[in-house]
Amino acid sequence: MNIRLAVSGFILVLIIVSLAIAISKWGGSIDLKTSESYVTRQLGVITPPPTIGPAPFEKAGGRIITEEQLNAFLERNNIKLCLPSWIPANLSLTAIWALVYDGTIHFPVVFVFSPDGDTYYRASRNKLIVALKGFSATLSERRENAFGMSTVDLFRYYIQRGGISVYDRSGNLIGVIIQGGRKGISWAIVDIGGVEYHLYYRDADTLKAIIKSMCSGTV
Amino acid sequence: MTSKRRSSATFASITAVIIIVLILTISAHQALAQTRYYAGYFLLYGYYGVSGKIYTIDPDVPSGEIFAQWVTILIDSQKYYWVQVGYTKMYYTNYELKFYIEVNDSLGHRLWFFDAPVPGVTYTYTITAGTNNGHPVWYVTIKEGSSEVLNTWVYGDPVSSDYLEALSETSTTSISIDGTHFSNLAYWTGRGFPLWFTHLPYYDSPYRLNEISDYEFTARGGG
Repeated sequence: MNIRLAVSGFILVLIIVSLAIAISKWGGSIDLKTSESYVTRQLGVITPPPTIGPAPFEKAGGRIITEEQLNAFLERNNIKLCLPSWIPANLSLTAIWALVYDGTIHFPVVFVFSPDGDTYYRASRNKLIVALKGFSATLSERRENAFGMSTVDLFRYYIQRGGISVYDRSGNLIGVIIQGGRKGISWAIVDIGGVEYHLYYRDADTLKAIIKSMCSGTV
Repeated sequence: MTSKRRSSATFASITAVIIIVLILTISAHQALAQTRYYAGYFLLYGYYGVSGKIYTIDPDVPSGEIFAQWVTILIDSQKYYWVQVGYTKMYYTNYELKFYIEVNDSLGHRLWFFDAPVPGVTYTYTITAGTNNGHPVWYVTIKEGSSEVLNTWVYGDPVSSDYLEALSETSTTSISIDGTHFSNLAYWTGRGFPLWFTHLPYYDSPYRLNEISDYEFTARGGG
């Protein structure tokens, strides 16, 4: 009798949990021309969702490059590098990454500053990442053409939502710092000397100080 | 005696729950840690839109595995943010073909499945940056010829772009991707969709890639 009861309880729990899983995993189809909230309401966002996901940076030709390769790239493209002259004392440059295909370097070029020798190109709370994403004029034109927002419009968009303005010494808006995103990593976009820099570090105040030390940038 | 029975039932229930939680945890861990195999092209330029025609194949997908073919904008390689549209067959679709949109950005990781693509039919998948009521968004469409299958948008934060991808993806080489055909790969300039003018080919063994042009390839292998 005890065994029967135990088996019944076991089966009942199995059925309930299986039903709950089946219901949570599947939603159904939706109408066309919907907003994201409608899509979300209809189907539900699967939590935690499985990652189908893109191929990561390494598979797109991302690799660690030497300073010589970097210098040749900078010279060829007439880029004056504006790395920070001040960074937190515990950090040091551990790697420079870039997309490399057929011997040619492509943006982004990524500088990793780490406290513990970590060379990985992904942002994390204890590392400073400085990524050159491309020529600011080209990127701004692409943005403006693609979605009607120039780079300055984009800065203003984030500033309206709590982003911190970054001005150069002449008072021009050259960037924005967005505080504490997912995983507590703050993020900044700064346009310096014709190149767009993306910086990632755990707190906005330190990012401010780092940006202040880049060429003529002042916050 | 009654309390003994109750205790047995409670014990059995708790044991069942623990076993289920363990199984789910292990499965989720395995799903997240799965190796991925890719075949296709990259365009190493940060354009704010991508488009491509993908012929629909319908391979057998073993239990717990993933098959997908898609186009992607890699929004930010430092944060591993992306927006992707394509079709898939996997455990979350009950091993049926489904269209899907996937976004991973500062707003979180979102994945939506839509009605089923028809095997043997070529669909055009498109993602473009845009604004909606002043908010940056990604517009996503799926078309069969000129007929719209899906036209929607999702919030984007940030709306940015490091490079573009057009790939076939599996989680095991036991999935055959024979018949894979991507064509008319194009990027969005804000005014139009020029075809890709260069490409970085990529494939993981045992898959093979046949490069037809900068904007067209076929792939095969596996199974």
